[in-house]
Amino acid sequence: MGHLRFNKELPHKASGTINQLESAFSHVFENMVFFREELDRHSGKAAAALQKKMNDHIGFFSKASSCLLFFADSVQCFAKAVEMTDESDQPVNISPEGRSERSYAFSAERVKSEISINARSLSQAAAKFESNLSTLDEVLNHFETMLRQMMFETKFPWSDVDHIWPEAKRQINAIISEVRKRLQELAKEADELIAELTRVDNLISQQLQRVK
Amino acid sequence: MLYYREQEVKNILKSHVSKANSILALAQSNRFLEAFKTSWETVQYGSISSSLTGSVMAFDSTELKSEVDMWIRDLKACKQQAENKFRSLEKPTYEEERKYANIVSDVTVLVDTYQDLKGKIDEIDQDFKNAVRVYRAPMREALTDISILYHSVNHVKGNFTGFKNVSVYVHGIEDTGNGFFESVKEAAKDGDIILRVNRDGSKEYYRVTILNDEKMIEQVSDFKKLQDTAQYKNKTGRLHIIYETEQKNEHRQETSDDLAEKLNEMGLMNENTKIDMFGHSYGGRRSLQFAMDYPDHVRSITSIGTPYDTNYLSTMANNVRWAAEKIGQDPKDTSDYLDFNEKNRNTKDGMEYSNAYTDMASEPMTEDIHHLKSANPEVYQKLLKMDITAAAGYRMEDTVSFSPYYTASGKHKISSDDTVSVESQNGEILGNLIDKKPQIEVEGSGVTNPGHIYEVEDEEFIHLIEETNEKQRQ
Repeated sequence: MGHLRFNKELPHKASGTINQLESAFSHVFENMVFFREELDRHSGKAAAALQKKMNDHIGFFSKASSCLLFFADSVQCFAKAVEMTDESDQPVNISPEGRSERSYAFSAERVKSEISINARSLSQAAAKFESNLSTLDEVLNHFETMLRQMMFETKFPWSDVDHIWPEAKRQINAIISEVRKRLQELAKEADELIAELTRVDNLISQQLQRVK
Repeated sequence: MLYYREQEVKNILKSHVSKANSILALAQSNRFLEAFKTSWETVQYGSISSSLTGSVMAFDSTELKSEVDMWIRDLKACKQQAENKFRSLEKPTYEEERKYANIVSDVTVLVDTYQDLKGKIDEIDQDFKNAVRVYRAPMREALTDISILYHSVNHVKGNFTGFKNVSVYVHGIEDTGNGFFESVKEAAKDGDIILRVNRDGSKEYYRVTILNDEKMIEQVSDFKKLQDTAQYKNKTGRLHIIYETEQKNEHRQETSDDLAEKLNEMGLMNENTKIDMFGHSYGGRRSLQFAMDYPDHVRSITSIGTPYDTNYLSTMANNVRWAAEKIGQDPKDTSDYLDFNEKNRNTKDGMEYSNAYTDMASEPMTEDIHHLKSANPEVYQKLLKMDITAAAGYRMEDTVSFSPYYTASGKHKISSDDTVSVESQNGEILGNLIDKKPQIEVEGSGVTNPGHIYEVEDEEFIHLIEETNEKQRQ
């Protein structure tokens, strides 16, 4: 076996952070899918522009969150397996959550099928959106610290992984920076988005009342 | 100890114990610490006082063993020196004889102890290897997914970015890409490029031109030259990739992971490129695995001779490996891949592994698909929508009658290609995932000359490749 190096505290620290991030990502992701569905009900220029942006963000967040979490969970399980092997000679087999499960958790189609849109849910989602964004931003800080620790203090004992590891570290950092950039964009756009959605929602309510 | 420890040996052990403590302080491993402590009960010099207070575990068992080897060399050199000195004495005194005997006995015991310690290091190392090998695949998959996303966000291009229609041909076990290369040369059209990705990592480039109804397949010496060809510049033809697996009998997951990494590097894992997979024998399972992992990139799968359910011959080869080796198979050939599914494993010199043979000895492929159905129904739906053709090769045999009352004449169709049953090749076990199940008569004459090996280059199958490539075009 090649060189192995990892932080023994990693499995304990990582597990909590991964769960927190999964939950924070899920909330923001659900909000984004919800807002996109709301935007679907309107065909104005502003809504169309926002919808295009939202589609792009959803596509990116779906992939980024599932692959970052899959990576972090795999490292966590690897570290746990090393730790347990160091404690006894009993075989260990702790599976990370699978790649297909992870990608399904962040599937826009799945989320879409589970949400129902009404005026109340819009105002609730709008009210929570900004706070969800700031929670995600905060959790992302912990996650980033944990990832840095993972990347700095982990050396894998397989030559092919070790070979791509330096480039992978750079790409992981770039993806996290992209997540941050898009979070900032979303935070900036949030007011504009919520105002547009509320306007459309009011418009639809008025039309519905007229029909009645 | 039945002998006195001489100062020369003490001096050496002093440096060993100090080195051992510093190695263990760095390693921060409980099991290595215990192994050294146990050995030091026999060494009986100094003490292993290192503690496990640090948070970073770091070791390289190869380095650990070479350190112990160095200690063995120190001791042997000491013994040799004592021997040389002793032999140079004309009349050694009792003390000199005694000293020499002490050193010889002490070094013999210490070398045995160190050899035993190396054995323990090996044992622990093997346990670590078996425990962590299983995480290599998810780690690589995650890193490849991150890289694909990175390329997409940053518009990173590869050497083949821009090709919209790509066919990837994957061979089966104990095989190379040669068979597919011959068929692809037949099936390729004007303007196409054939790329061979060989087992040793080298690449071969060919361009296809049709002039006055004559097809010319011309090898282009390197990528730089290929860039100057019209086929490369236009990118309107199909890119055919004859992919040779890094290990001939590697597990389907390893092939899928390697392939994803390579296609991403080539700039082909993007939304504009659609991949049509072709697989022969186990190459069909490898192709299906790739489609399960990357359903948005794969447009169709066409297989022939693929054992989609348990294969009797592979099970035999996996269970009685020495017999398989006698007939030229290599059931122990494997990559570093280890499956989480414990049924899909075997052991070689204490090392656990998973490969094509372990995979075909039970039903892990079907289990994986059933799992996928519940874990990610969207991917399963994408597979359902994908064009999947599971062709089956079969052979015709002369009909022999054992009846004394009539003589049979003619031929009859046998239910396999001498290696895989038609039912298995047609993927009956995969239910409605398979859209088409053509059956193709192939050459061959029985178990020693099986029809299975003629499938890839069969005219009807080449026609199927042509048809698929023509239909699956954007």
